[in-house]
Amino acid sequence: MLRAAGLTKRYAPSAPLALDALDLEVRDGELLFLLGANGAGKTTTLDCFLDFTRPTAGSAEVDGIVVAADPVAAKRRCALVPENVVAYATLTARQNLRFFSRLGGGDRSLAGDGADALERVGLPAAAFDRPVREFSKGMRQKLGIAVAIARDAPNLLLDEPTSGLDPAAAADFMALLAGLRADGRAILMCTHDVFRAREYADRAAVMRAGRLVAIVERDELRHCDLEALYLELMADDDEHGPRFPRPMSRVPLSP
Amino acid sequence: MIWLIARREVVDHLRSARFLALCALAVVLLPLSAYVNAAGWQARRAFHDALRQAQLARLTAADSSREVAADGARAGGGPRWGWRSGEVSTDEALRAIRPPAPLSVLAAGDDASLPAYWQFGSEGVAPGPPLTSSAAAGSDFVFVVQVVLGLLAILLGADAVCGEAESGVLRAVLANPVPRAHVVAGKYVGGMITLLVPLAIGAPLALLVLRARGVPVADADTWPRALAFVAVAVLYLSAMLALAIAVSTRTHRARTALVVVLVGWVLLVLVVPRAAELVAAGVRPVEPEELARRERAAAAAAIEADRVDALASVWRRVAGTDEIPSGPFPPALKREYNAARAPVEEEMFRRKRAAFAALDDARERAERGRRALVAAVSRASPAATFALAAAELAGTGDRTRERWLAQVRAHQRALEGAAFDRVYGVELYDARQPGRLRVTWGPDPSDPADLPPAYADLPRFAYVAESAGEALRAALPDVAWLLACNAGLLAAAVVGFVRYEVR
Repeated sequence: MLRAAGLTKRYAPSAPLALDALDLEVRDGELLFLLGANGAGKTTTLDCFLDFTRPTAGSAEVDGIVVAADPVAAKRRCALVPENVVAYATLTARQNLRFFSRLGGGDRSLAGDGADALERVGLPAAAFDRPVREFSKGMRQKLGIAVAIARDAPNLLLDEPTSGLDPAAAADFMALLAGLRADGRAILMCTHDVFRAREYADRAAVMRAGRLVAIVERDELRHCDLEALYLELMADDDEHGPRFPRPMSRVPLSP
Repeated sequence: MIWLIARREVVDHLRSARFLALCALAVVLLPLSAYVNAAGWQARRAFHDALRQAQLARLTAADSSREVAADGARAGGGPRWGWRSGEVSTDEALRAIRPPAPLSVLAAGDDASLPAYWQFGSEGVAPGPPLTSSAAAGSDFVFVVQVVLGLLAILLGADAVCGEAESGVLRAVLANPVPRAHVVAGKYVGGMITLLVPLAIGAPLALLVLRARGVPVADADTWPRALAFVAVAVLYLSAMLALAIAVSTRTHRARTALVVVLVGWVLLVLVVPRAAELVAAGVRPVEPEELARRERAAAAAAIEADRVDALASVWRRVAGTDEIPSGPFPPALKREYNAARAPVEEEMFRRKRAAFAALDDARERAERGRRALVAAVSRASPAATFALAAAELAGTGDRTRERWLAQVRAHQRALEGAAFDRVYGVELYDARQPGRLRVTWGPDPSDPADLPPAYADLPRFAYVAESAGEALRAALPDVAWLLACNAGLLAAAVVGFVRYEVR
């Protein structure tokens, strides 16, 4: 389970809040899509769960472990797929997988020496032993997904994971995610893709300017026009500033 | 976890162009500098051997010391030993000759700039010409490690953190449950293993070259020094690596880190040692050698004037007249005069030695203070600390210079007691003459008590070099300081990385 409680982040004293008292929870076996424009605070939220940055106030928790208090224990229970997967360019896909797997505390021997995980994400077998510098963005993305899956962590943090994937690979990846959710994993996926959110998400949360402005429950997702709602939320502003959080009685914020 | 990261760092470094270029440069320069410096050492050794042979020839010639002492008297100028203010002896037999240190081929230090010998004489010790040679003393092992491998060390560490942050790979690494201190430690260990590669290739090659050139680098006294030398080089390189990693944790831009570490490298390797010399010259100036010589001559002349007056009075008291006898000096009168002037001579020699010692000690104190200040300021730089430790281990540092000078001064005092502080023959001064007319009678060859001692009866000088154990103990403070630099810089790197925001 992933939980943000009053999570606040300001990068510099004069800078605006990147996160403004964010309260959010991703339950076990749930796939939550975090939507928002660029700069809304989605990646900063993920960064707080991974101790990439320390919150100014509030806390991020992974399975009840406060990340800032014990980042190593928290990270033992979550894996990341970044928007742009960057691996060691001079190492092969298999070597990268092996390295990150061991760094993640995994067993020294990966199933099939990593081939299983790489096959599972659809990386061609011919690419397993090629240096990553020769990879396309989509191939690197698949490698990143393989690395995260190989971790077998109970929580997954995904930052635009389908970026760079072709439609078929993206669909395969979403099917893979569905399977991981069915295994009981808590999955937080940051994306701009409202269409996939409507199709796959258990819940969708919308952020703007560091604040959570709406949470749309599963039933609501199936019936509402998420794209229209999203565009309305992004445009909703007046001279006195944004009127958020928007009161949405049918989509209560999680307790 | 640390080892896992270290191994990956090594693989990454070994494939990098900067490593390949600087490693190749170091692997070529280490044996090349050994070859050139071995030639320089051989030239200094040959010069030393020639001096020793000349000295032995002089020492073994029968009664040669008596000739030296008496030939001045035969020429009418009085014996060379005794009172001859302002004159510097050139007696080849009375020289303190020190062999060049074998490990000067690795750390030249002061070895080539120290005098080839110190000359003993009645007027004190004087330095001979420096043991210079055509060898490129500046391009020794220390130089290659300081400059080439030091540069490699900071380049390996400069983008250790910020480079990975810039490329994004740091996010992939830190998404894993690995303590940040372990990441820093892994990068440090990996960098160190990488830095050992050029040392592991270049140092044995250099030693092979030295052995082929006949430099004794593998004997019982030398190899522990050489081993410690490499260990100190590793400590220096690790300090530079830790410094670069610490810088890398303070910025998110690899280019910024690179500029900062390059400026730091220039400051630490090139500027600080020279700035230390400038600071010391300004704060603790040492008067020029020529000025010191003049001060000694002036002090000696003042005492000489007192002595002339005192001896003229003694003669007047003993002879009852100022008249100086012509022809052979009456033996009875000679005995009476010598007995009467003995306490005067003793007092004058005491005053002269005290005046010389005061001047020498003041100059030596000033020189020691200047050198201590240079060393203290230099220690702000790990590169200079490494050079100081290397020189101590090689036997070419300040301690060797001081040790040699201390032995030379002790031997000079022994020679003063045994031979220099006596007046051979008879000197009379006519108190009536302006400037005091001086008349001398040379030593009486038939009177053994009147003759100077033979060389065989004089103490012989033999330089006692510092043992390897003493050299290692002398280098310990610098080793401890380098260890402290490593610990401090590594701690700064860890603290910087723990606070590092991954963007």
